[in-house]
Amino acid sequence: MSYIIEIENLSKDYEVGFWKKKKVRALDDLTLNVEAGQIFGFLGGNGAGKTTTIKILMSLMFPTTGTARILGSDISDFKMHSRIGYCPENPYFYDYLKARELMNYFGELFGFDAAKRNRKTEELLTKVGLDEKDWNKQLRKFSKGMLQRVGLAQSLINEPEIVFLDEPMSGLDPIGRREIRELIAELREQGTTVFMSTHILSDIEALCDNVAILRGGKLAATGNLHELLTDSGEKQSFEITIKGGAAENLKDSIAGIAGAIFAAKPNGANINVLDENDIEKVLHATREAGGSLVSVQPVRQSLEEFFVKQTE
Amino acid sequence: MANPNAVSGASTFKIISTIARNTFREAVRDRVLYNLVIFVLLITASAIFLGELTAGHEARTIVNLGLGAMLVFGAFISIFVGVSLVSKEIERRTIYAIFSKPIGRGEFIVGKYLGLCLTLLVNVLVMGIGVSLAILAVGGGSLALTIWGAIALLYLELAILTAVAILFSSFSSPALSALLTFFVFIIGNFTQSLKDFALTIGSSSGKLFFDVLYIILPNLSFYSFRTNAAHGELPSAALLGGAFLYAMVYIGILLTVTILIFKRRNFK
Amino acid sequence: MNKNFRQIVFSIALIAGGFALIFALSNFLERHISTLPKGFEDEDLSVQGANLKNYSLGFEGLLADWYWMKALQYLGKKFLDSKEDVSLENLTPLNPRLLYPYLDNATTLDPKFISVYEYGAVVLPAIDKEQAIKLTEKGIRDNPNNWRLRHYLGFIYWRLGNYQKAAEVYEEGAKITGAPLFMRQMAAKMNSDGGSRETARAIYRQMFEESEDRQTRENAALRLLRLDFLDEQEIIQKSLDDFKRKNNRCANNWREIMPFLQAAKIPDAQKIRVDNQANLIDRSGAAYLLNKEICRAELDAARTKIPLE
Ligand SMILES: Nc1ncnc2c1ncn2[C@@H]1O[C@H](COP(=O)(O)OP(=O)(O)OP(=O)(O)O)[C@@H](O)[C@H]1O
Ligand SMILES: [Mg+2]
Repeated sequence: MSYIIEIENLSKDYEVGFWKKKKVRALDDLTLNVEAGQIFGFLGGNGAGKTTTIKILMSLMFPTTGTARILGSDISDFKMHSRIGYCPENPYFYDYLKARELMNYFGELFGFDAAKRNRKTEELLTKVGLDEKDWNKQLRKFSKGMLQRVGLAQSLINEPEIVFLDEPMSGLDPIGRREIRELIAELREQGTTVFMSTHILSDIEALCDNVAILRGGKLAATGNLHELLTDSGEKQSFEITIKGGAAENLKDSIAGIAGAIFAAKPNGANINVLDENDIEKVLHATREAGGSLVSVQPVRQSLEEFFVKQTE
Repeated sequence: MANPNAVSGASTFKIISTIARNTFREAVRDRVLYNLVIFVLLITASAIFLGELTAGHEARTIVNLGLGAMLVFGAFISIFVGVSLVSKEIERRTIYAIFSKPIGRGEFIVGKYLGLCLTLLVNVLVMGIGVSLAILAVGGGSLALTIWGAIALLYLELAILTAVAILFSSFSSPALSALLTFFVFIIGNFTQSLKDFALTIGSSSGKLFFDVLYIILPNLSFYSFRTNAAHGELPSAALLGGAFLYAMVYIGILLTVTILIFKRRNFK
Repeated sequence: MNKNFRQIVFSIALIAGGFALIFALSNFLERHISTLPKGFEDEDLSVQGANLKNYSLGFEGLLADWYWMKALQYLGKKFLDSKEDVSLENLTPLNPRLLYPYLDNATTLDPKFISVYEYGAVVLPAIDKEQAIKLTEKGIRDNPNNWRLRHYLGFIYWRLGNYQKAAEVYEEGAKITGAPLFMRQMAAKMNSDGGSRETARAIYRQMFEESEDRQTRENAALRLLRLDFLDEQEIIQKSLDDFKRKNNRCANNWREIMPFLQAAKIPDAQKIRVDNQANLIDRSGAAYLLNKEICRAELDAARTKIPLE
């Protein structure tokens, strides 16, 4: 299996300070491979080095050490950029241009003829959900979310084989987020590889096949999302929801069960137990307290918990 | 894969011209051309009022004043737009989207440079026509035509100055670049004196220093033909041709150095 | 890295080659640059403006204009401020001591500014003849092929009564290619009768017709009027003398000498204008006054535009 993105021992030091330059390591010996045709989630806390990595991949910065290849070409080969797309974090574009003009300009840089530029512009601006009345508005009058949509649209203008999205959901309203989520899923359907960094874990859970988690510039974990969550050695737990009953009595009787967690809710409670056999005990106690069962659910370890554990 | 027959991208020429045109559009939308309004007012006012002051030498004074103002306005644009040409793109991060496209850093620099040259060309043409019309209005006759030799040289001077500005801005802050470019503009007009000065120095190492300085700094005095133009003189073909070649070679050197530096820059 | 290295080496070679070309082009251009003539470095540039010459960023033309305007305004203001009537022939009462430095600066900054020399040649002799000569000679040094400057210098010497020197200068000027026939004629005239009215008329007519400077033309026109007046005064004098010889007294008014004027014994007498009250009118339209004490026609100082001297 050949990889579409290959990152080898990539490190980056930032030089800070005005006079005596001090080196700050932002990325430390990152090795990572991404297969074609998937949505790859690039996770990590603030300052973990996600943006740094993506900017090195885009040749906007040069690595201190290490190499990387995209589509088999070294990242310094900018001709390869005709086959990829990139939407920067908090994108910003020429604010004197209108959305349409910006798309047209970028299309021209790819050498598209006027008809194709027009077609792609309209297609993509519609797809990212930018209101048609805003197409002929100068970008300086755009809101953050509107700019984000334009950023996504421009990253797709050349029908890229891989698209790099640095926090594509930031600044979007809930509807916008859903639209973009659908757009990203659609991209995978068409065979486009998506490499995205994000903080929004629900999006990752909904979209990503594989993920990598960075911590302090180092790779903390990588692999298939499902496998990571189930193979992490954590036991499964069960969530029991009940309604009615005297909560205080119930809490006391539950306290006897090892590992059980009680959480009172208005007119009921949520109880977590670790052992399947404890479910019966809880149900018994519930009936005694005069409550009734609503549901019993097995819970997997959540990505959030996993993420917190990996990045702490 | 989405499209196995990958798009091959535009030709270098096409990319450069696209960037240049966009740079021109930026200048227009950022109201760089508004200075023309001030210029036209200045020339009109002087055409009207100078007659009183110069006792029938309006045309001569309009040439001196008009071409002088053209240089000042032009140098102002060269320096201030020139130093922000690239640094503004880095600062505002508009450059991220550009370089993720199949565009070389050299193509970007050349495109930006030519875009500003185009802006200056439009500026100089409009101002030149303004001066010509003012000359005709005060009955200056053929001066309206002969000044264009000086204007051509003036434009070459601005093209050199713009390349200097873009070079400085490739490694220093816009404010410092503007200052340095301004110094080069001043010293560039005195390099002849610099050379004469070198001749009066006894020590050979001192002389060598000034000689090297003379070669490295642009000799902009080749391009000031304004006082002669006021007498209706035209630059000789040798002067025009030599000055054109000099400008092309000098600009070529500056852009090469700029690209060399720019290629190594991290856009943090 | 290797690619990087190659790129740097290639670029440096390119830059070095470029500077070699720049060196060659610099030398070429230095020979073809249109330098303003030399020959004034050793001069005492006591009034600071001219020191700007090498430091004016190519704005010396504009600076020259500025000094030129300054000079015109300076003298104009002196005229307006002065209480007494000042003759164009002698401006010293105005004490225009800065005029020469202004003109000198203007021509140092722009040595080809011919109009300034012309203005200097016309005005400065009425202030300081040394300065007038100095300025014009500087102009000749910086513009050796300009015959006009010889004309101005010749004019200055002529006004100072140095006809021999004037003749020499006109002679030199006549040799310059493009010099008009007038220069040769003047050279001849100066030697034969420099002080004659005919010479003066020729000079001023030339100025009136050829000068590009409005003030010089106006001044020449006035001088021509004065020359005409001197002619007319002689004619009228003849009639007055005739009348006196016949009647043994001076005429009481112009009407009395009208028959003598019309007798046509006097050449050009009919050229003198007469108004409907039988007054004799000078060329500027003012009536002549009759001074009976010396029995002589005089200009009406209050009305006439003709210079009184
Ligand atoms: N221009 C810079 N100069 C110096 N240090 C920088 C610069 N940019 C980033 N860093 C440092 O590099 C590290 C990684 O930053 P990076 O922007 O890659 O993080 P990130 O994972 O994208 O974070 P976020 O989720 O907040 O966007 C941080 O410690 C940051 O302080
Ligand atoms: Mg980031």
